[in-house]
Amino acid sequence: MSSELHIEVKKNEGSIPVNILYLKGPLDANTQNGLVNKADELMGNGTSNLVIDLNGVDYMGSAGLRAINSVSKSLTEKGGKLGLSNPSEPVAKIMKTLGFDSFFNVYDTTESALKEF
Amino acid sequence: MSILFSLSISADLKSLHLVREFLKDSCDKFHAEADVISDLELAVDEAVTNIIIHGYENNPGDIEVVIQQNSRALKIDIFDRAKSLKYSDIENADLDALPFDPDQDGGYGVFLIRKLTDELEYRTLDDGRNKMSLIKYVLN
Repeated sequence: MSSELHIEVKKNEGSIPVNILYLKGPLDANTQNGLVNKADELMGNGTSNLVIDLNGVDYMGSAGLRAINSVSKSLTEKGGKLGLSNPSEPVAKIMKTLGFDSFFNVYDTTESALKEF
Repeated sequence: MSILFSLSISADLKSLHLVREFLKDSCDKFHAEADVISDLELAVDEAVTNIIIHGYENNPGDIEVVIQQNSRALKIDIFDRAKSLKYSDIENADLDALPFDPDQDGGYGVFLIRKLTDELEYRTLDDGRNKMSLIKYVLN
């Protein structure tokens, strides 16, 4: 079990450009700043639309949800938005427990998340 | 014969994964159900995170996690020598509510700890250590 969060970025070339972040590893209080920093970096390069694919997240705590919320707010300020997709079982569990999914659309697949842009 | 497992870590967020791995390995040895393990993993991670950030305030310190089981429950004790945390509102947590609020920055750890465990106690011992006890009922 890794202690590090790995983030792979792919660009989806559609009518509206969207960057997809594939996360792998834990999203906890230690690793959450890696997600926020990567999103900030992409926004600094002109990105305003992101999809975060959560299938590879083997653990998520409340710090992970706060990081996602923070990224969402930053994208909204830039006139863009955030999509969430493919939640792993641990991710789905905490989202449901805290009611996170009442505020965010969480798609089963990244393909369906991309259709919202 | 009573068995317990103990882990001592430095109060560093980099140690969080060690706590989760220790908890899962120990609960496996106690033959705990997967749902019980995932609940405790979340609750203990939130509790230890709070100690590191709000208790030790990211200063050096030690945290000890002890896990044991009896016929009815898994019990996890978490010891630290940090500033005592205000868990006074933990008894009043509305566990039927869905607390996430996009305009609120945090504060979900207490809710998760209370929601995911069956009994919870937090006190400061005579030797100055804080002790949080989390209990999760198990069916044997």
